Amino acid sequence: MFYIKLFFTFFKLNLKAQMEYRINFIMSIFHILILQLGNLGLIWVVLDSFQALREWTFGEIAFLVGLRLLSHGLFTLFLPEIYWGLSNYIVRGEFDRFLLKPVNPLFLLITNGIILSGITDFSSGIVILWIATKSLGLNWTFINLLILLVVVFSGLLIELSAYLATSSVAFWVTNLQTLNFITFQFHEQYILYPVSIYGKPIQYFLTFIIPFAFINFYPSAYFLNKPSNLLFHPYFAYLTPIVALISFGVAYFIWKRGILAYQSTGS
Amino acid sequence: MQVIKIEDLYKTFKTYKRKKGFVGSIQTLFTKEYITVNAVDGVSFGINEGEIIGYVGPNGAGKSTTIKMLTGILYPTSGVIEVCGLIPTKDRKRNLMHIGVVFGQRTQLWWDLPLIESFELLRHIYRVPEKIYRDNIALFAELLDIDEFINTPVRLLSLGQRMRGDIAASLLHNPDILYLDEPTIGLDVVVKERIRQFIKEINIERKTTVILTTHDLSDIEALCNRIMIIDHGKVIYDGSIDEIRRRFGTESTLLIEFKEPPDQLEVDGALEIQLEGIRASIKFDRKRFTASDLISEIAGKYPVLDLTIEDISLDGIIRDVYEEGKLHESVS
Repeated sequence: MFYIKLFFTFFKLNLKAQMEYRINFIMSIFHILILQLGNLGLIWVVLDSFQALREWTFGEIAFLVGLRLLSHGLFTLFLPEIYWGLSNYIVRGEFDRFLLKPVNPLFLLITNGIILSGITDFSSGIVILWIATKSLGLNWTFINLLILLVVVFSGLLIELSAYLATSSVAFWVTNLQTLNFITFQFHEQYILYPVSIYGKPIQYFLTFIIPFAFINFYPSAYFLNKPSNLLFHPYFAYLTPIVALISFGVAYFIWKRGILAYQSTGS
Repeated sequence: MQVIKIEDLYKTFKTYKRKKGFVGSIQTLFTKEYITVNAVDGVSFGINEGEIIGYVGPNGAGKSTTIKMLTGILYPTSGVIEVCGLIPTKDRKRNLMHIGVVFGQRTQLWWDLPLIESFELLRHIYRVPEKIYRDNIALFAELLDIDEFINTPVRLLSLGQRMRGDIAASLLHNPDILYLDEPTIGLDVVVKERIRQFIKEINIERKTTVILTTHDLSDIEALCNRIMIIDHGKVIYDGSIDEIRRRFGTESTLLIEFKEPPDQLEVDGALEIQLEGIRASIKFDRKRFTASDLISEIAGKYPVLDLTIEDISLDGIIRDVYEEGKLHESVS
């Protein structure tokens, strides 16, 4: 309860602070809208030219893209410090401040900033999901909307875990921005398409190492009723929340060990 | 009552041995040759409630490392630390409720938020009761004039304003102990004086124990009743300022103005004489001669117009202490 109240206090103030950069926010709306619609157009072109994608319709791929954007929008809005802040603070020796307050340091890090343009990502996600719904003639029941909610929050947790784990590497090895960037590439580019089109190593990687495939690919099999497209096992369509919890457990463990290392070396 | 107890504290850092040049830097990547550095090397001391301690030493002496261990940011390699009966790294959050910390070089306020909003957040984080919070804000407004800039975003504050904000923020929850790491660095004389007055006031009113690291020894002279000098991770002096003056500041300078310039000046017991026209400065050791001995000797030989005695500054004493390692010998 204490943390929930504190979270909203922080959020309110961060919002206020972000309003100082209003122009920036308005620019980002156009920027992201154009970027995402451009992405969608690109997918259209790609769909047309590659045989491997033939078993996927445009609407189905739009569904993947939209689903990813929903959780990514929330991540950008609420948790940008995990990706953009953490490794910098560690490298620049500014991490101390997160250990100097009597609250959980991860909480303090998360509440240290928001990026308003996450709202644009999220809204583009809704628009694209709506396009997919129209194109596929999907029927959203109440239960499915509820499951969508769970999937989106699980996706958020998976993204959080991935960046928390890779950023925490900076506790041991200074200046490892590249690792973060690679993770980002996987998340930004690879899961725009069904993971089944890639070679085995990448399928394994996105399923078992950094499980981004559970953000959109596997759960989409449930929503689109396409179990035939699933890799490994049909049950994977339902595993997203469990994978999210396991990922977070692992990432939180790495983060905790990282802090311990920081506390013994001071750098 | 003892609020801080440190016994036999060690902190050892491992660093890679770096080789020079391009080839060397590649070698460094693959070989792991460590050098161990004892940043804190067997330190023991106790601090009582209400003391103001000056913790002094050159850069890299181990001051910040000690403070970091006291706040729970850093684990000791070995030894005992107790702060208000708690072990800082084990009981990090509870320890932090008791203490306030200010690092002069880095603000702990929220950069984009107006100062008052930072205070608001801290009120929630430390669960400060409404009344105490309001009383404190009023007190800080009175003593530090923070109300002049309380609605300005922190990133737009001047250094002096920011530092006053940081100090106020560290005291919102009425901590028992206040750690100040270089609180007056880069500040002008007026702000410095105001901050010193404030710290003194808080110390007297609330019995807040203050540990102050600084390079500005005038801070120490204005505030501290006890000084600890640390060098190479070891405490080489722990005692009052008067004591350090009495024991080590034995070199004084006698400045004399003569009625007419003497051809030459000879004084028994002078360590060093500089003569320039009608003015002379004579260094002497107070342990062996009193000023009046010297004065009567000189006044007997030459016509004196005016004279002043200058003690060596605390700065000078401490510089001597580091450089000559005087204390090493006399303490052990």
